[in-house]
Order: sequence, then structure tokens, then C-alpha cells
Amino acid sequence: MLKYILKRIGYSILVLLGVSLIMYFLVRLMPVDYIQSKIDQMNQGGATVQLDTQFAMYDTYGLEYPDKLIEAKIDDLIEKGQLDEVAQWEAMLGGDSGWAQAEKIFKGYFTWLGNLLRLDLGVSFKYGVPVADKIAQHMGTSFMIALIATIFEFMIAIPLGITAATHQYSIRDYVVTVLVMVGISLPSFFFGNVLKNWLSLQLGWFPPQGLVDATMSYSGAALLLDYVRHLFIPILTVVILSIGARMRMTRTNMLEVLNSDYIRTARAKGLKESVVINKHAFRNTLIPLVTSLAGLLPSLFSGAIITEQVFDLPGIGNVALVAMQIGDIPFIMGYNMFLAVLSVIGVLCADVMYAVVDPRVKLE
Amino acid sequence: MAKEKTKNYLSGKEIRAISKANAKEMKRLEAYKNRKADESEFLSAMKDDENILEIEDLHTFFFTEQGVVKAVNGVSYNVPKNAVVGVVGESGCGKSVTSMSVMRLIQGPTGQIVDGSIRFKSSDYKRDKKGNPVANANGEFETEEKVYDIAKMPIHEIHRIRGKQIAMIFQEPMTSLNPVFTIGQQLDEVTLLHVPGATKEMAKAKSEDMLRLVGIIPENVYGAFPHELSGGMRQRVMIAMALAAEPRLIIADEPTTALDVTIQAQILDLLQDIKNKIDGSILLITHDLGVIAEMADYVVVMYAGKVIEKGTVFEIFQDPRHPYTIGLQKSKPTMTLDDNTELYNIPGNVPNPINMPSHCYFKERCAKCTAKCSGEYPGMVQVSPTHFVACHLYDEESNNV
Amino acid sequence: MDELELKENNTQEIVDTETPLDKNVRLMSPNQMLVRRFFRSKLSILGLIMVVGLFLFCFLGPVFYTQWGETQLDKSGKTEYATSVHTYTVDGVEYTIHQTTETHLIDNFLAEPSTVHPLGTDDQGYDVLARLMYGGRVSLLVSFMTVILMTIFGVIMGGLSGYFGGWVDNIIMRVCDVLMCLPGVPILLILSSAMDGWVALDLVEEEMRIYILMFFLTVISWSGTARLVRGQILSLREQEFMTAAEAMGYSTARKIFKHLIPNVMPQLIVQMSLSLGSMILYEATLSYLNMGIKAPYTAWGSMINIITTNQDILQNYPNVWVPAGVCIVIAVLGFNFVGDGLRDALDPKARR
Repeated sequence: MLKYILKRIGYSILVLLGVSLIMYFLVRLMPVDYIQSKIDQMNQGGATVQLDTQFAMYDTYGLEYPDKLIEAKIDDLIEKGQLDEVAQWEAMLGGDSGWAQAEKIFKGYFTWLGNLLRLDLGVSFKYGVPVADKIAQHMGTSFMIALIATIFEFMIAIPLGITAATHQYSIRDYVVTVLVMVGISLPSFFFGNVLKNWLSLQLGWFPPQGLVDATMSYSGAALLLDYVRHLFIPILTVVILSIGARMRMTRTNMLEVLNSDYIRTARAKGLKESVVINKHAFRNTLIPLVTSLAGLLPSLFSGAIITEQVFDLPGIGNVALVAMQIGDIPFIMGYNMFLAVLSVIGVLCADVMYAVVDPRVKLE
Repeated sequence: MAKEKTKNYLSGKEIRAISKANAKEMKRLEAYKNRKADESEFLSAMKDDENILEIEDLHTFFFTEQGVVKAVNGVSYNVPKNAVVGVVGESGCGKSVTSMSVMRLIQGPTGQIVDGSIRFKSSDYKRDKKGNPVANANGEFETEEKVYDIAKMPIHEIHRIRGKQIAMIFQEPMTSLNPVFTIGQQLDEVTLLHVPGATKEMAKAKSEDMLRLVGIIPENVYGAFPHELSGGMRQRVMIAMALAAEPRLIIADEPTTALDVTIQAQILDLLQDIKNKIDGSILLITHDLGVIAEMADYVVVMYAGKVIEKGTVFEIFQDPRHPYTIGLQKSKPTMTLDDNTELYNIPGNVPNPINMPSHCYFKERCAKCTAKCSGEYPGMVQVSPTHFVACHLYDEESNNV
Repeated sequence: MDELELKENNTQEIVDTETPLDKNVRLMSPNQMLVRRFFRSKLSILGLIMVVGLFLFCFLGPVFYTQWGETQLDKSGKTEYATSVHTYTVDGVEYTIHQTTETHLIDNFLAEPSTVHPLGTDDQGYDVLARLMYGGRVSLLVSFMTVILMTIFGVIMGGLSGYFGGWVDNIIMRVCDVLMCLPGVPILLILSSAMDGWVALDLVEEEMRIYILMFFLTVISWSGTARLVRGQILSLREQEFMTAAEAMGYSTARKIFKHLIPNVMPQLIVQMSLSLGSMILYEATLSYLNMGIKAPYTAWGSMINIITTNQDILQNYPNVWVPAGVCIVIAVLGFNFVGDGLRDALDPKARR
């Protein structure tokens, strides 16, 4: 078992290397001028970005300095009278051949990788704090939402899925099937906005956005209540959207189990139908459900990008969305690697859990 | 081309008609199956008190979208006390469906018992209204005999019969045990369910006894999961499970088909052995004539959902009457045959049970077919006190039954 | 129990007494069975109606609804009135002045639904109904192309992997593992940002960005199809008819395309119709984040984008954004219903 897990971890590291390489190249697809335009934007925003900061931005991510910037630096040096350094900078001009580019990207990748091994994800452009700190800071909110939503999801989906399966082709089954379909078909941004408009803007029952009421300073139970009020619609959205797939999974599995020979044996023993379903069938249906739950656990930290955006919640998804829209390279790399690691851990957790709940499975 | 198509395939109109009629029938029969009924509605009396099970004119149909499959179409046979009755026939002749009907394990809503009765003499503890066994003044549980018509029982009453009165051993030992419970848990469950006042320790002791009875050392197997055992071992466990509640009737539905030959022999020996040890009857379903010859006291031969011949094992093997039974025995390979003789086979295939004619189903495969065979389906002819055959060849021999 | 009474139409006539008994029965043809199974579920019928309806609406709609085009602003003008009340107190006497400002605007934006604009106009003055039709073309086309490309790519990769096995299989499957770990929406967002740069550099046409994005989506999402095909081929390869094909000396290509692919078709069709739904969702999400097609062109998701910045429209002008959302839901739901119906119809195990 331990050997299997170690082997899997080793394999996962290889997969993650592949993921990071692809990701890095995709990020580098963003033309260098794009970063320049960001700097321009920052300049327009009022704060003048110092030349050295600009170089630092390119440095941090192993990007080559554009000629324009180097020229600006040379001009600056000449202005300051530090003529002895000019030659050194002039040497950096040019060299735009394809090979040189590729070499630089690889170099940049290994620099990034080296930093990663030192657990340094770099500093976010947008937020100006280390990426790891930023992720850690916002993870909690996302986790709380996802955890509560997942608990409700399982609590509602499993019983509904089971009754749909045990009453196959009945009205109940029909209703559940339609619910399932609607759940997996609703776009989160649309449904979230509909709920937001209806429950908070029209009816005024819940605040439309944010995590706490900024105009009040609550504490204790009142603060908790405020959280509940703010998170009610987002969690409702997530639950309704995710419940469909879970219900379908439960129903399909239960149907398969109910058609199996050992259920016939259980019936032939003289067990009542309720015992057959709640003991013999349920215990078998639980295997894929628990496995999927284990696989889900890591992804609870990854944040729901769209839902958090719709309700303007300070979760990791929303933070990442802003970073991705403006091209905050270190944050993008950091966040996406975080996601990839979570999904790799999820698969591993699911495998291990499978071996725990199903006596037939041995990890080797 | 187009004409051929319409001849071989159903038209859209026919398909709709079938599904509409099916839906109506299935709804009616499901409602009947799930109805609430007082015990008096399904109490009955045996025709012959020596029997433990009497199946009479049983019809079990499957309402498929292709049409009604009459898997069991008017089957009657009896299982006497302390006897082994073998049911033999080709695949798809309805022998398993009959036994499933007895256990009421036919998968609804498609499969339904449409008509007929299955009378079973049960010997159960006296129970109160809630179904709990009641003890007498001495704290003992008394038993009482009742005859139930299983075909008329509402489905939620069937647990009176299953397991405790009739136990079943299935064809697929590999998949018939629940993979997530240990053998011990699954065996104990039977005792805990059927023996009033049973404790866990009692159940464990009983389960271990049963395992020993089927030739398994309980220490190795009691705590094991089914996947850790071989097919033969699993079938032994299934037999132990069937025996645990000391049922009056054990239905063994092709218990050896899925096993390899050496294991088959072991399991048959075991069944043979058990037959002598228990106080009950065995209904053995198989397509293997050898197994029947070895085990059975009475034989029922089925063909296309009907019984075509029944009698004692001697009558069927020494004096087979129906051309199909004769053919079956001829098609058995034997060592004494001359090397050059080709093995006999019955020509043709089993008819499709969706659309049965009114004449004898075996007619066109039959070598002894006469003009009469194109007429109505032959009735049961009694050729000896225990021997019956459904064939026009013997119409004169005795009066129809 | 009731007497056995089966209706006449429930049993068939015997054609003649000479037909062998195992042949005398008329069954459903395989196609009939498929159609019957598919249409047995009311939901598949509903799904089919939804999908066909949407296609007609988007592709035939503009032929009949010609009053407004996709990029045609309603320049009929709009007059806005703003009233303000001022109160002055002069020598202890209170004067109230009601002032009404009349503003004449060129564009008739945010018009209420009327006979001229059945669904009103949006914040720019575009006709919502016309935009809905043209936007739907983009959404449907993009998702269709993506799914078809993805399937072709997946079938080729999965086919190679499953058929040749060995190191080919190994490499393709490892690539699949990596691709499966890539987070979908974030990757598209990164690419979209990169695209902004390319558009700025004139490397890419603005209108093409959504197609390029969806092409990348294809590149990262073929792994599911490839795995499906590979699994099927691995199990089919073991079957007798493949041994027979081998014995007949068929060429590799013939074996793959004539014998293996047709056997994978049912699952592929089901998977395609189900992925159509998820591709529409992907495209809509991207457009909603304004990462897809850009103004003046539109897609369903883009039509909802406005509410991220304008709460007034979210709250008071549902006619601007709700129809687009409803269209997305209908499209996804329709494809899912059809896909589910197909799965039930094509699954030999699903018996009723």
C-alpha cells in the first residue's frame, strides 16, 4: 500500500512537471509587449513604475528585456552620467532569433522551477504580495463555501438518487431525472445572477454580494449570522448546480447494484425489501460515492471562479479571475499549479479511498 | 425486398399496440402484486397432503417490447415431502423461471406471474399480528402448518416464505455473494433473521456448524470476503447459507453449471450427502441428465415453457415416452458407442416463445410426427400412476388428465 | 387471480403452419428498436424539439426577422426626462420649482419590449431579439466545430493508442494524463489574455479569437474521447471478428476504419451529444467573462456580460439578459436530453 502510494506520488510529480511545462509555455505565449502594456496601464493609473521595478518584473519571470526598455535604461544611465555601464547594456540589445527565444523560455522555466523547489512562487504583479501568501489568505473563504455546499449536496443527492433508483420509471424517478438534467445544464453565471436578482435585489431577503456587511461591525453570533446571510445564495447556487451530477451517479450505481445477483441472494434469504436496500445495496452504492468524495476533497480549496465572481466574494477563484484577466503571470502560474496539485492529490485520495471501502481492491 | 421486410419485422403500428397493451397488463399485475391483502386471501389447501409444493397451471410471462414472452405457459408439477425433484430441459425452456416464480424473484414490472397457483405447505412459528413469533407459557416457540398460495401473496408478505421455508442456491456462485460483507456476516444474517431470539454468538455457532456441514473449515472462511474464495468454495457457502434456516424446500438452480468438472462432482456429492441429512425436499434444476439420474427421485421434463413429461426417475430413464425425452437421452455421449456412429442431435432450434402456435411445439423437430400433431396441443396422458406425458402418440393408452 | 385475458393485438397471427417455429416470430428491426427506445422517453423528444427549435431560430430566424441586423443600432432616438424639485424660501415665502430636463439621445437604448423591438433593445441600442439569433449562431457553430474537431482528434489518437499499443500507447496515454490535469477555464482565460496581446499586435483578427480559443479547447480536451476509443478498441481487439479480420489479411487501415470504428460509434455519438452541452457552457462562460467574441459581434454569453458591470440592467431590464440565459439553458438541456436518450437507446444492457 505504502509502496503503491509512493509510486503514485512519484508518477504524479512527473505529470505535474508536464503540466507546469505546458502552462509555462502557454503563459509565455503572452507577448512581452503585453507586459509592457500592463506597465503602461499602471503608469496611467497614477503610480509611476520605476525603471528598476520594470526590470525586476521581467527578471522575476525570466523574461528577456525588450529593446525599448533597454534603450530607456541606457538613456537613463547617460542622463545620470554612469557611462561606464552603458556598454554592458548595449550588449543586451538585439539577439531576437528563434533559438535565442526558445533558450530563454527554457531558462525562464528552469528558473521558475528552481524557485518553486525553494517553495517560492514569486510575487504577484497585481497584489504585490507573495503568491503563496495570497492563495493562503483567500483559500479559507472558498473552502468554507465549498465544504458547506458539498455537505448539503451529498445529504440531498444520495437519498434522492436512491429513491429514484428503487422506484425506477415512477413519477419520483422522472422528477429526479429532470432535476438532474436541469442541474447539470444551468450555466453558473446565469443561474447565480437570476437567484441574486430575484432573492436579493427584488425580494431583498439577502445581501447581493460580499462576505460581510462593511458598514457594520458585528461580532460573535451576529457576525456569524451576517456570514450566513451573505453566503446563503452563493451556497444555494453551488448546491443546485452540483447536485445533479451526484444524483445521477447515485441513481446509476444503485440501479446497477439492484440488478446484481447478490441482491437477489439477499432477497432470497427472506430479508425485507427495506433491509435489502438500506443494508446490502446501500453499502455497495457507497463505494463509488465515498471514492468520489475523497477525490473531491482537495478541489474544495480551488474555489468556484464564476460563483465567486457573481457574488463578489473574496475567495481564491475570484482573486485568480482578476489576476488572469490582467495577466498576472506569477499568480497565474502559482494558482494553476495549485489547481493541478489539488487534482493530482484528488485522484490519489480517490484511489486510496477505493481500497479502503472496497474489500476487493488492493493497491499494488 | 420490401415485402420480406414487412414479413420479418414488426410494423410501427404493431409496436405501439404491443407497448400499449403491455403497459396496461403490467400496471394491473403490479397493482395486484403490491396490493394489501388479508392472510385468508392467500391461504389454500394441498390437493395431496404428501406434497410440500404443488405448482398448478402456472403462467409467468415477460412483457417485452417485442411481444409477450410466455416463458412459463401452464406448468404443473408437485414436489413430495423428502424427495428430490429434478427439472430438466434446454436453456430457455422456462425451468429457471418456474423456480424464480416459486421464490417470487421474477423481475418486475416486465416479468409477471399471470395465472396459476403455487401451493406451499409452510411450517412456521406462531406469529402475532405484527409478524413477530410468539412464545408459549414455557418460553418455547411453537410451529404451525399453513398452506400458502405463493402466486397470490402480495409481494411484501413473501418474506414469510423466502429463506426460512424455501431457500435457493443460484447458478452464479461468483456473483451471488455480497462483495462487501464477510462470509460470516452473510451467514449470520440468516440465523438472526429466522431464528427467534437468536443472539450473535448463537448465529456464529450455527454458521460455523453449517460451514462444517458443507466441508469448509470455518476458521479460515468465516471472516473472509467472498472474493478471497474460489467458485467451488463460494457455492459451498451458498449451500451453507441455504441450509442455515433449515428450510423445508431447497431450490438448487443449476448449482453446478458455472463450476468446472471436478468441482461440479464435489458439489453434487455434497448435495447428495445433504439430501440424506436434512428433513426436506430439493428441487433441482439442471440441463444435465447425468446430474438428474444421480440425484433425483422424480423428473420433470420441460420444453418451451410447458411440461412435456414427468414421472419417477426410473420411468423417465428406462421408459421415456415423449420423442423429445427420447431424443435428449440419445444425444448424450456415452463410452459404449461405436466410434463411427455420429452423436444424435435433435434437429432444429427451440421455438421463440413470443409467438406460440396452438399445435404441439415440438412438432417440426419430431421424427414421429403424425397428422394429429397439427391439431390442438396434446393434453397430459397418464401412462402409469406416476408417469405423465403430453404427446398425441399416447392418446389411446390412457385417459387424458 | 384474474383470468388470463390477453388482448388480441398483444399476440401476433401465425403466418403459416409451415414456417419453422423459431422463425415464425416477427421482431423489431434493430433500427426500429433504436428509434423506439429513443422515443420511449418523453425527455428525448423534448430535447430533440429544443435543439431543432433553437437551430431554426438561429439560422432561419434572421431570414424572417429582417427589421434589425446584428450590428444595427436603433438610431430612432430616445428622449429622457429628468425632473428635479428645488425649494427656495424668499422672505418667508416658500417657492417650489419643478424642473424637467429633456434630453434627446441618438440611440434608442434600453427600450421596453414593443412591436418594434419584441424583446427591447440593450444598453447600446441593439435589438435584443436579432442579437439573440446572431449570437446563437456563434455559440452553436463554435460548440459544434469544437466537438467535431475534438472527436476526430480523439478518435485518431485513441485509435493509434489502442491499435498499436506499446510505446505509442504509452506516450499518448501519458500526454492524456497531463492534459487531464490542466484546469480548463483558467487555461482558456490565460489564452484569452494572450490573445489580447496578439490582437493588439495585429497577429490575430478580433473576430477570430473565439474560434482560436475553442481550437485550443479542442487541443486540451481530446483526452476523454481518446481514452474511450482506446478502451473500446482494446476490448474489441480481443474479440473473434478481429481475429477473423486478421486471418483474412485485411490492411491495418481497413481493420481500423471498417471494423473497429463502427463498433465504437454508439458510444462516440452519445459522448458527442453530451459534450455539445458542456462546450456550449464553456463558450458561454468565456463570453460571459468577455473573453470570447468582442463587440460589435455577440454570442449568448456576451449578452449577459453587461450585468457584471451594470447592476441597473441586472435589476430592472431582465429583457436584456434573461433571454440569452434561457437560450443557453435550452441548448444545453436539449443536448443533454438527446444525449441521455441516445445512451439509453444504444445501451444494450438498458432493457425494460
